Amino acid sequence: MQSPNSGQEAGLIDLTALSLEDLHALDDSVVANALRELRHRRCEGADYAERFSDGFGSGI
Amino acid sequence: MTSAHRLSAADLGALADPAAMPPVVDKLVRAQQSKHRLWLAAIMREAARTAPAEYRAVLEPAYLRLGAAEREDPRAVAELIASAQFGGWASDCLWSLRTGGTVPGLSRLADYATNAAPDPGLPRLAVQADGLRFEVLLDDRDPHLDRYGVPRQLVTAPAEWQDMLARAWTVLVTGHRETATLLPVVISTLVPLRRRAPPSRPVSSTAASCFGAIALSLPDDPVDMAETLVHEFHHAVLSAATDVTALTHRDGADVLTYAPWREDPRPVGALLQGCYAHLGITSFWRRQRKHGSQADQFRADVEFARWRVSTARTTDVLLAAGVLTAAGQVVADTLRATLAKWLTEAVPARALRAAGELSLQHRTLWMRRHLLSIA
Repeated sequence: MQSPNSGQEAGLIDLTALSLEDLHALDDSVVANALRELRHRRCEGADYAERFSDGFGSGI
Repeated sequence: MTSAHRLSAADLGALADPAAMPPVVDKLVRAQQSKHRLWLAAIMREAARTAPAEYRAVLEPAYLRLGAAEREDPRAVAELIASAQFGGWASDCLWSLRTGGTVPGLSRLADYATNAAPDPGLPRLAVQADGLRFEVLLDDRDPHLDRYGVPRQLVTAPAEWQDMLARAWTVLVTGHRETATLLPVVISTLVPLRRRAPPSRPVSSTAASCFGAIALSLPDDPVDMAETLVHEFHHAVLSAATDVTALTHRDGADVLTYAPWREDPRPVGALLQGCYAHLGITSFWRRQRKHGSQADQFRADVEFARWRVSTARTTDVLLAAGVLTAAGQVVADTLRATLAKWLTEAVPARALRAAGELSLQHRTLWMRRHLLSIA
């Protein structure tokens, strides 16, 4: 099966090994790009995502 | 150069099989840790730019203290940053900073630096059955977990929750051991909610920004609580997968349609979440058919028969809608294949009839309410 990540999908940046000091030293553009991709994956800004909001509820 | 969290097609396919899920769930938990760290990095940058006074007075000193705490006890700080409470705080701060609103709770980072824990005073529920332990915080006070669209329930008697959770845990460990093994990896906090009234209806919810927390009203019985935990666990897992790889496209995803588990019209792009959660529910009732009294088993037969059909039909709608990415297609195909196998399993005729009537009744009521408004 072809990997769904084989196209342009870059995945979520792995920051688990970075100390807070390293995290603070990251290039601003790396943080901005990762955040933009994260929002894009969640379709934030799309009408569908706004309707869906933050949660998945039952009985709500 | 940093690496990235990724999900292969095999990982995505494994999401439909609790036996194959453990390594994927581990990946997703680690990805959520990265997401929270990313949010923290973004908060620091955004605050320095848009709220420099607060940044210098509050955030920067707190961040330095948290860094010192990390050098002393890296595991405790990693667990704090991974917590649902931290996720809720970070999400709220980032949203406020980006939208230019007031930024409540920036000073919370100072509390985190002091305690290296969400809230040391929260009640902790711990249950055990047949060698499997499950421990959660019962959080009725964190302001950043007040985000589920239903008021929280102030807990005056944690023993009630402890007792219900213990009995639900026994249900899960006895009949659903593979899923029970995964719950403690993902769920670390229960957020008590008030029931919807009138009439008194149980509610439950999961928020994408608070991975690890499940919000629910106190259920009527342990089987209901077990089902709710399985249901919301599935939402949490698929939401975490969405942070790693896009599952739907924007285009066309906001077309409204029928979902058999909701009373309101749903965007077609949101159906995947419901289908995945209801795969978990169908699986739960499928196994639950072997447990309890005759009446319990009849209920399980009805629930299994109802949700296998409703979830399969809705997955078909989703697959035909053209809103799935390649990754989303893998998940939906796997769900559909699993449901296809379950659709061939024998169910007593009386339960089949009851399931069909319930489904028809739901759809008919929904059509009366909404068909004209979305046509």
